Amino acid sequence: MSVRSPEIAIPTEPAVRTEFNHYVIEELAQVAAPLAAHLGLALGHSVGGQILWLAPDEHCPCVHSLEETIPCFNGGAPDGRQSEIIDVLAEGKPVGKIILCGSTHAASVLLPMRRLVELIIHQVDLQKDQEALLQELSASWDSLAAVYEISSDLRWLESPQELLDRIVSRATAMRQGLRAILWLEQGGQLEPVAVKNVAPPAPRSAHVGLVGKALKEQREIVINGRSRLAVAIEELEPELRTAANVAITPVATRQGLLGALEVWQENDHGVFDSRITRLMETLALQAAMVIENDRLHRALIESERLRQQVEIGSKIQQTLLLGQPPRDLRGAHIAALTIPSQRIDGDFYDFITHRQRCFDVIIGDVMGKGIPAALLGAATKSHFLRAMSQLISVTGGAELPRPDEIVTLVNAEMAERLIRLESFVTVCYARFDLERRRLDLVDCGHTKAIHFQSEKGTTVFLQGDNMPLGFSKSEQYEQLSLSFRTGDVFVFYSDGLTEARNASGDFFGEQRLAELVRTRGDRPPEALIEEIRSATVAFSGSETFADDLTCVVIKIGREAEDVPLAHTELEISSALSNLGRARAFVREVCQDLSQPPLDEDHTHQLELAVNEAASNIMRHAYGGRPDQPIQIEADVFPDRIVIRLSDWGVAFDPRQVSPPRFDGSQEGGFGWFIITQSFDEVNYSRDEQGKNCICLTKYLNTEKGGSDHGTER
Amino acid sequence: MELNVEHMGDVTVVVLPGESLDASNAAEFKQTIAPILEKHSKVVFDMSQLRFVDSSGLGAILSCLRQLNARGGDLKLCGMTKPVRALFELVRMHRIFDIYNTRDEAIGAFQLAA
Repeated sequence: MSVRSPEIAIPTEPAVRTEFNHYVIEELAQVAAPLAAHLGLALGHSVGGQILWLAPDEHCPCVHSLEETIPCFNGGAPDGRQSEIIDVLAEGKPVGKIILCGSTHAASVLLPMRRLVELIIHQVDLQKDQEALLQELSASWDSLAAVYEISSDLRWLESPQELLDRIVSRATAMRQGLRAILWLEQGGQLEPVAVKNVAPPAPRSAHVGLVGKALKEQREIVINGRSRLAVAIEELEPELRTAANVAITPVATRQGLLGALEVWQENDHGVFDSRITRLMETLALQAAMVIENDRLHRALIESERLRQQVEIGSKIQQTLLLGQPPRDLRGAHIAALTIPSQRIDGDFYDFITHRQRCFDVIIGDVMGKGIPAALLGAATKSHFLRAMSQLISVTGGAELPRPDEIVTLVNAEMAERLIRLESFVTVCYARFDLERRRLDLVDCGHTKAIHFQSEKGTTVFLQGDNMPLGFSKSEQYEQLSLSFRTGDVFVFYSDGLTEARNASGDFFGEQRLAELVRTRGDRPPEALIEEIRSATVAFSGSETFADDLTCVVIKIGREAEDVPLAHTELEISSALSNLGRARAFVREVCQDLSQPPLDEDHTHQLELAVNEAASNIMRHAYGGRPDQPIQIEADVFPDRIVIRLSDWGVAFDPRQVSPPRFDGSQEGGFGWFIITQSFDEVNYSRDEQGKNCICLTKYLNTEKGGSDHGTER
Repeated sequence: MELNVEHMGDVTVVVLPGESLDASNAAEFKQTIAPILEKHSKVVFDMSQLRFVDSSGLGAILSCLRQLNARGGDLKLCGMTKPVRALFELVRMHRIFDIYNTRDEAIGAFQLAA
C-alpha cells in the first residue's frame, strides 16, 4: 500500500520482511498445518537455510539442519514422495519458502494444498499492509479509536460502500457544521461516491477547481476564510459557494490517484488546523484502502482464481468438513446428505465411533462464507478430535470425556482466535450411548435437532442455551441428557435446510421439517433423508440452494440383541467328505458359543439343516467339483443364531424347488424342505460378484417353524 | 465299507456301519448293499450305530426299501437313535418305514407276518 506522507511511510527494510514472514508462518501454523497433518502431508518453511516443519511426518522431522540434506527439497524427493515448493514474496521479493511434501497417495491433495497456502500468503499480504499502517498511525495520531473502528471492518471487505460512507461520516464528525464529499476519479471525471450533510453533486471534470488543483499537485489544500476562498471558487464547484473554510486531501495509493476527500464548513467554527488535516489524511488513506481492496476483490472474483477457490473450497469440504457416517454400528443406522451451494460454506459434520455401541456426532456451521469459513470449519473439526485425545490422555483412557468437557475445551482453545477473526461457530455435539439408550447433547446455538419419539409418534426439538464457540474464552458449556427407544429418529441439519425459500420468500422452516420427520419417521434413514431432500427441492422449486444444505439422520435400531455374543467362521472345500466338519462347526456354535447352550434336539436339527445346505452347494452349485470354497459363518445373539453359507458356484433359485413327496416314491428332494423347516428365517441372495449366500436364522426360546415337530410314531 | 450281516432264519439283519450316513458315503452304501438286497427279501437294518443321517442317507435307505418292495420283499428298521428318528419324522418317513425299537422286535415282525 502506498503512502505519500513521509512520516507514515511503511519501511521496506529486511526487518519488515522477516515480520511479514512471521505473520505468514503464524497463519500457516494455525490454519494450514493442521490441514496438512490431517491430509498426511508434511508442511514446513525455510529460514536461513534451515527448514522448520510445522506439520512434520516420519520423513520430515521437526527441524532439518540444512536445505541440502532435506528430502523432497530441490526436486530430490526420495522414492514415493512428492513435493511442492512455494516462494513467499513480499513486495515482489522472495522472503522465504514454504515446502509441502507427502507420499504419492497424497498427490491428489498436494496441489489443492499448494493453492491454499498461496491463498493464505496472499491474504496475509493484504492484511499486513493494513496492520503496518495502523501501527504507524497509532504512534502519532490522537484519533486512533476512529481509525480502528473503521479498520476492523476493513478485514472483511464486506460492503465497500458502507465503509466509505462511514469514512465520510467520520470526517464530518471532526467538529460541528462540517460537510464532506468523497470523490472518485475515473477517466478524467470526478464522481461523488459518498457524501455527508450535502446532496450528491453531479459528476464533473477532474481538472477544474480546488479539487482539480489538489489532484493535479498531488497535495492537500487548506483554505481558511471566505474572502480567500471566493477568489478560488469557480462556477464548477457550487458546494463551496457559501463555504467559510475548506480542506481537500488527495486519496491515493502507490499505484496512483484514486480521488479526493473534500471537507468544508459554512460558518466559521474555527480555522482548519493541522489536527484536522492530519485526521483527513488518515481518513483518505483508509478510503484508498477500501477502494483498492474492493478493486482487488473484484479482480479476484473475475479471475480464474475464483474458480480455483471454489474448487479448493469444495475439496476442503469433501475431504475435511464432511465425515463419513460409520457403517458398523450395532443398533443405530446413520445417513447423511449434503447439497453444496455455489458459495463455499463452513458447514461441517463428523462422527467419532468409540465402540460399536457408542458414537459421537458433531455438526456445525461457521459464520461466514468462502475459504476462510471452510478453513475455520476444518480447524474446528480437528480441534474437536484434538480435544478428545487430549482429555482421553488425561484420564488415561479410563473413561470417555463428556461432551460438555470436550466442547468447553475446544471453545477455550479457539475462542481468542475466533474473536480476533470476528467469527463464531455454532455446534451441536451429540453422544449416543446405545447400551444405556442415552443421548448427551451440547447445543451451542446450532439449529434445533429433532427427536422423533416412535412410541408416541411425536417430535420434540432439542435445544440447549449455550453460546456458540467464540463468544467467551471462559464459557462453561452444559449438556442435556435424554433417553431414547428403538425406532426413535434424530435429525440434525444446517440452517441451509430450514432457510431454503420458496418463490414468495417463505422459509422451509423447522415446523415443516419436524412434521415431515413425524410422518415419515418410520422409514429407513436413507429414505427419510431422500424425502427431506425432495420436499426441500419441491418447496424451493430448485435443485440448487443459496446455502449449503447438510442433514444427518440417525435411527435407533433394535435393542441389545443386535450385538452378537460370538462370531465364528469356517472355510471348507467343496468335497463331500467335509460335511462332517460343517456339522461339527454347527455343534460348536450351538453348544459352546450359545448361552445357554441349545438343547440336543435343536442342535441336531441345525446340524442337519446346515449339512443339507452345504451338501446342496457341493453337489449342485459346484456340480460335484471337490476343490471349490465354501464359507460358513455364524453369529450368536442373545435371541438367535444366524448362520450364513457362501459359495461362488451357479445360482440357486429357491422358487424352482418343488415340494417333497412324502409317499416314499421319491428318494431325493428333501434337502431344501429340511432347511426351511429347521430355521425360522431362510434367505438366499446372490451378489454382483457371483457370491451366493444362504442366511439361516434360528430364534431361541421360541417354538416356531420346524422345531416343534411331533414325536408320533 | 464293510457291512456286518447276520442271518436269523430267513431274516437278514444288516448293521449299518459308521456313525453317519450322509451325502459323502450314501452312494458307496448303496453299492455295497446291492448284492445283499438281490439275494434276500426279508431285511432288517440295525441303525443303532448311526448318529447322523442326512437326506442323501435317507434317500439311500428309501431306495433299498423300494428295491425290496419291487421284488416282493420288505425292509424293517430298528435301533434308530433319537437324532436319526427326528429326521425320519421331519420328512414323514416314519409313516413309510416299519420302524422298531429293537432288532428282536423287527425280526419278530417278519416272523409274525409269515
